[in-house]
Parts: sequence; C-alpha cells; structure tokens
Amino acid sequence: MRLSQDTEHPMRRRPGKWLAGGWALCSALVLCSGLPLPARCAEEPPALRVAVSRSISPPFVVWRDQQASAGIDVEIAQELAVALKTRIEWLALPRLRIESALLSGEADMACNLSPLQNSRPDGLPQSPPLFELQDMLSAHPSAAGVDTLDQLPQGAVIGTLQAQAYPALEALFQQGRVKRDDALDEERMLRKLAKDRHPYGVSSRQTLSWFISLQAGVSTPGGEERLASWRLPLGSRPYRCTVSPRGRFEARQVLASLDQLLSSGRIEQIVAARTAPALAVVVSVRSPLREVSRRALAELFLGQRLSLLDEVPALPVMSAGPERQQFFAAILQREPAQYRASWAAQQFGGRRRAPTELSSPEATKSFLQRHTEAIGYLPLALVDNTLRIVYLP
Amino acid sequence: MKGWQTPRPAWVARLMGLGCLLGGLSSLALAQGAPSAQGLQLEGFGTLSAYRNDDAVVAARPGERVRLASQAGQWRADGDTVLGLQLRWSSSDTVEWVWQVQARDDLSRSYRPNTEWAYLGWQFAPDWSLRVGRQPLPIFLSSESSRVGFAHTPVRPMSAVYGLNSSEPVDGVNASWSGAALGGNLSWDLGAGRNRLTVPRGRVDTQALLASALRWQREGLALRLGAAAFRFDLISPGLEAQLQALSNSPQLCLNCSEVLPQRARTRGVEGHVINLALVWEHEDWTLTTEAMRRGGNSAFNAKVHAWYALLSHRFGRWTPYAAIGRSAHTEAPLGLQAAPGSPEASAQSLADLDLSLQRPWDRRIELLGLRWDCFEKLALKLQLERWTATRDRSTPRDGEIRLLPQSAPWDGRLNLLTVSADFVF
Repeated sequence: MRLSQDTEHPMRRRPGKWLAGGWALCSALVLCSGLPLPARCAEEPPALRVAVSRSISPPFVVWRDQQASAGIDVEIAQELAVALKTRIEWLALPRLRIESALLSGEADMACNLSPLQNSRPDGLPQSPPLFELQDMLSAHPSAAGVDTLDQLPQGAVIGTLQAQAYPALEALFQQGRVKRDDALDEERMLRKLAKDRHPYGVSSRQTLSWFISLQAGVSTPGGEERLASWRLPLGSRPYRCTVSPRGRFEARQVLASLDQLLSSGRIEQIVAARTAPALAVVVSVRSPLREVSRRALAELFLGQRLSLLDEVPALPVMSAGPERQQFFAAILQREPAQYRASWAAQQFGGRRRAPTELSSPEATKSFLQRHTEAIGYLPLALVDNTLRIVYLP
Repeated sequence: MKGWQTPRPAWVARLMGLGCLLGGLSSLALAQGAPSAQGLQLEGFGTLSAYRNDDAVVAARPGERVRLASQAGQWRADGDTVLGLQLRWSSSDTVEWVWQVQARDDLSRSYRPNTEWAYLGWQFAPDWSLRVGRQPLPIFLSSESSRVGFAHTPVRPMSAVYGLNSSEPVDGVNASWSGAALGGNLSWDLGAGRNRLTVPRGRVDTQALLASALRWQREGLALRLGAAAFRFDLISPGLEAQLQALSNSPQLCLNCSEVLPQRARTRGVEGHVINLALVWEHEDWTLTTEAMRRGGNSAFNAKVHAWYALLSHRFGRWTPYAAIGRSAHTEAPLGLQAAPGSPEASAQSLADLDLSLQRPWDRRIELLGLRWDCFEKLALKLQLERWTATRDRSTPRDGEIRLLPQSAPWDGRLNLLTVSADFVF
C-alpha cells in the first residue's frame, strides 16, 4: 500500500542533482516552445518515502483509514521532511518487509523498527538512539504477580508481537517455560490482555501508558477489562531511524538532519508531548502491595487516606528532582502548592506530618529498599529488581 | 489607609522577633541534619493580610478575637495576619511532642505569641492515637486549622459559621480512631477539655467541653458529623452587676428577677453544637458545605443556626471560588416587662436589653475570591465579601460587626475586601 501525505512546509529546494538538471531542462523547454508546462515537470520533487510498520500502535503511529495520521513516528518524519525541505510519502508495510524495502530503495527511511526473530545483519545505516523504549511485562488483574521472570508460572502465555524478538524472554520461550501468543500489533495484544485472553503481555511503556489512558475514559461492564497496575521492566532498547543506502536522499544527509533534530531538543519535545514521563511508583519487592490505582495514590499522597491495603499502613515519601514535578502532574494532578495546602491543615492541625522529603532519587531508592511500608516514585532508569513497580503513569 | 501605611512598631518587632527565633532554630535543625521522619522537625506557617471595610457607619473585623476593626475604607493589616511556628519531636515511631505558637493581633494578647498546641501524641495501636495537652478540639471541619490560611481556599474559614463559634484551644485529651468502613475510610474523634478565655468585658471559664466528630470518606466524597457539649461561666463583674441590679429593681422591671436567672444566666451556662459538613471533589471542582445548630440554657450562648456552601474550581495554579452563607439566631424574646409607671426611657432600655439578648444579628454573606498558588509554599488571595444584616440594623453590637450606640442609621450592608499572602515553611 502506498500512502502519501503532504507536509505543511512546501518544498523550496530540489534535493538531488539529477532533479536540478531535469528541472532546468523542463524550464528551458517551456521557455523555448511556449507550450504549457508538462504535467511531469509540474510535480514537486520526489518525496521522502517513509516506511511504517503496520504493527506499530499509538502513541507512535495513530492510524486513520489505514493511514498513518499522527504520532511520534509521524511527527519525527514530518520534522525531518521540513529539515530536508521536502514532503513525505508513507509506505505502510508489514513489519517483515521493511528491511527489504529499505535495501531495495523502495523506501528512503523507517523509524522504530522492533527487533525481529531470526534476523540477520543488514548493514543499513542507522541514526543514533533518539530516545529509549522500555519493554514492560504487564498482566491481567487475575494473573499471579511476579517480580522476576523466574516467577512466571510454568506454561504461562505471554502476549507478544508477531515476529518480534524479546531478548529477555527468548531463553524462556526456547525452554518451553512460557509460550508466545502473537498479535499483529501492540494495541490488539493489549486488548486481548485486558480481556484475559492471556495472562501476561509485553509491550513498550509508551504504548502501555497510552492504552491505560485510553481505558481510563472507557468504562466496561463491571470494569473487568483492564490491566493490573504492576509492571515488570524487561529492559530498554533504543529508538532509531534506519535509512536506505539506495534511496532518493543521501543517507548521510538524512542522518545529519536527524542528528540535528536530536541535538536541538525537538525529538525530546515530540516524545514528551505524546508520552507519560518515565516515572515509576515503586515499593520494595518485600512489600505486599502490588495493585494500586492513580486515585488511591493521589489520596494517599494528599493525606486523605492512611493505607493502600487493608490493615497495612503506607508511608508515602517524596523525592527531589525533576520527577517531583512529573509526579505532581501525572499522579496527583495538582500544583505543588495545592499538595502543600492539602497537608498544611493536618501538619499544623494536630494530625499527620507531610510525607518525608528525600533529597535525591538515589536517597529515595535506598529508603524504599529499607522500608517495606514505604512507597515513592523514581525515574524508571533507577528501578531494579529490589523494587516493584506498582504504578506506571 | 491608616492601618496599612503606618504599622505599629511593637507588633512588627514581635513578628520579627519570632521570625528570628524561627530562623535560628531552622539553622540549628539543618546544621544538625535533623531527619525528617524522626527527631526534631521545625515548620511554620503565616499570613500577611490587609482588609478594608467600605462602610462608614459600622466597623468590621474578620473574627471576634481580632482587636481592631476597619471602617470607612480604612485598610488594616491586623485581621488575618498571623505567624505560626511549630516544633515537632518524634521520640519514637509512635510518640511525638508538638508545640505550636501563634502570634496574631489577639483581643487580649496583642501580638504576644500564644501557645496554640502543646501536646503529647501517642499512637498506641495502628488505628488509634491519643493527644494529651493543649489543642483545639475538632468540632467543625476547620477547627484544628482555622488560622492556617495556606490550608484553605478562601482567606479564612467562612464567617457565617466560624464567626459564631470560636476554635480556641483547650487543655484536654483527644482520642482518634481511623479505619476502613462502608467501602471508604472512617475516622472518629472523641475529645474533652477545659479552657479560660479573655473577652472584652471579662472572661469565659469553660469547665467542660466534650466534642466528638465522625468522618467518612470515599473517593472524592467526605461527610462529617461533629458535635459538642459544654458548660462555662461568664465572669464579667460589670455585666453581672447590671443584671443583678435589674433583678433587684421591681420598680423598673416586673419579671427580671425570674426571667434573667433562667434565660440570661452567666454561671453554669450549658450548651451544645451539632455540625454537618460535606466536601465533594470531582476533577477540578470542589464543593464544601457546613451547617451547624447551637443551643443552650442562656442567652449568652444564644440559639443559632448557620450554613455556608463554597464552590471552587482549579485552573492550574488559579482557583476562583464563590460562597454563600447565612446565620440566624432563634433565641426567643425574654419578655422583660417594665413596671407600670416606670419612665419611658427605662422601658425602652429594657426593651433594648431584651432585643440585645436575643442576638438579632442574623447575616447573609456572599463571597467571591481568587487564589493564586504562585509558588509551592506561597499563595496569594483576593477576596471580596458582602455582609448583609438580614434582621436588625440598629441594635448596638460588638462582634465581627461593631455598631456603637447612637450611631447614624445603617443600611445593613458592608463590603469587606481582603488581600493576603499565605505561606508555609
């Protein structure tokens, strides 16, 4: 399928020497003959042909009428097209066909290529990592919670993407300890997981967050179609763009433009606008807590409840650093002063003290490791197997 | 603008002194690396406020324990201005000592710091805790934090209810229980204590105050029921002499000797208060409402009922709010009867006294305001209130509205404008 979409920025410069020559020849013919401009010459210079895998889900690609209409991948490509002063032609392809399209020059570029099973080195030029994708194991609320992959029940079925490789799970798949249940895309896989068609699933943090936010606005009968709030990180992989060596644009030029977008902070802006912060609400793995809602967390941190589990008091802790603001916005959904105000009445009214303030994420991590009743937030990168993610915005 | 432009050096000096003490203790605590979970913790709050009553006939003040009042557009900075300092020492995970002083322009103390809280707190079971010492009892929704402006969306708890009932601390004990119930969180408080309070013409000795509050919360909804019973003596030699003189003068008042001891007793006054509150939060909307009823055996604890509703909406750091409230006294006329043939002036005085003892000072309050949470520990507020006397505009009074005898006729309305900066540290 070949899809096209114009960028908002019309082309102002011809991208290739051959094109410059053709354009000049065409102009000369028109000037000499006085004939109307031939249709072939009136076309804009060739577009940047961006291959996009049909298995990609929001927030990376938002599909509308089977066309990539928005999302992180789309916006990055659009920014690149602006930098290259051209427009985009989208090629929606099955994931397995993308490398061959790039190798043959059918497509100029593709981003966000997940690792494939049985893939061989293809030598395609790649951009530097533009940001990180975190793979997460998530579960249906009825599934047994796990803190390590070893704790997965024998024969458990894990929702996966067709043909995608999962380095953290490959050994378990090969041993037959757990089984794959392949889906065509992450959204379908998560929908099956929410319906308990399989107890576990693997997806990127970003798609998982999008799916949760989508679910928050949709009520299902009985509310049974949902995911458990705990997550198990399976590792991270870089988000890169891959460029064709036989495309219409020089690979070096495309990679340099991507590099510039990265260094200017534009990539970060695009990602931040469409994804939740890489923040995790965590407890010690020794804590009995595994399941919690955003509302319950907000009530706890705003002093409106004492515990998250019956008869088990919870000790909320706050941490300094940029995650603090992210926590206010994503979890509490309050301004910092409103958080302070909610505690001031208790703090100066003979009741509870405000949550302990720790000076850094590292101090918070250490505190959480030592106190099973404590609950706090950390940058995702600091979460290791001593801590359990109980909520991911 | 007199009160605002020429602050009195004495209270400024006292506030500065408390500030210096605060700074010193803060430095000490920081230098010692005081842990925040256990050990010594120093914290504080405050409000810098200015208010202005535009009415030329009556003076107004935000609270009966505020010493001075604003009149005829005069700005005053002493209404809600307060500085509070609190030391909290946790000697173990379950035991803590708390001492809180407040400096504000109080009726009897001016800006001298007053111990508002001084208690030993003990969590003797996971669901139970006990406070022993000086403390306000939790009768109303904001009884325990009535002067912590930063904790409230408006400048101060709504006068319609809180202007009728003080939240002064008592020396006593309070037990609290909290746990899960009815699909939400339930908490229960039971407290008792006594205090002694200076009033303009004497003092009030509360021999017993028993208070209890039940609060249930589920998701965004909180319901609260508070109740209190109390007994106090009003020690006011001048007032008592005046009442005694009337009782002993059958030539002036036929039935004062019978009615006044029954209806206007100053000793052994007993009363009760019941209060219902609801707080409902839905997304960025918050509705807070309280209704109270008070009764007793003396006109000096006049029967009254009052309510208010406050609605606010958060727009990021900005929170506009609006409220309406009303209070109505229901004390029946005492029926004091002038003796036949007594001078007309005496009969009128008796009628005035009867009316005054009924406390006919019913009010309606409409309020608009805006809170701006400009920093994590600082909020600025602008609030405009309209107070309307709904029953009586001429009987002299000295509460939040001060109407002196022989004043010019009053139209029963005043506008109170308040700006404040509330902070915590």
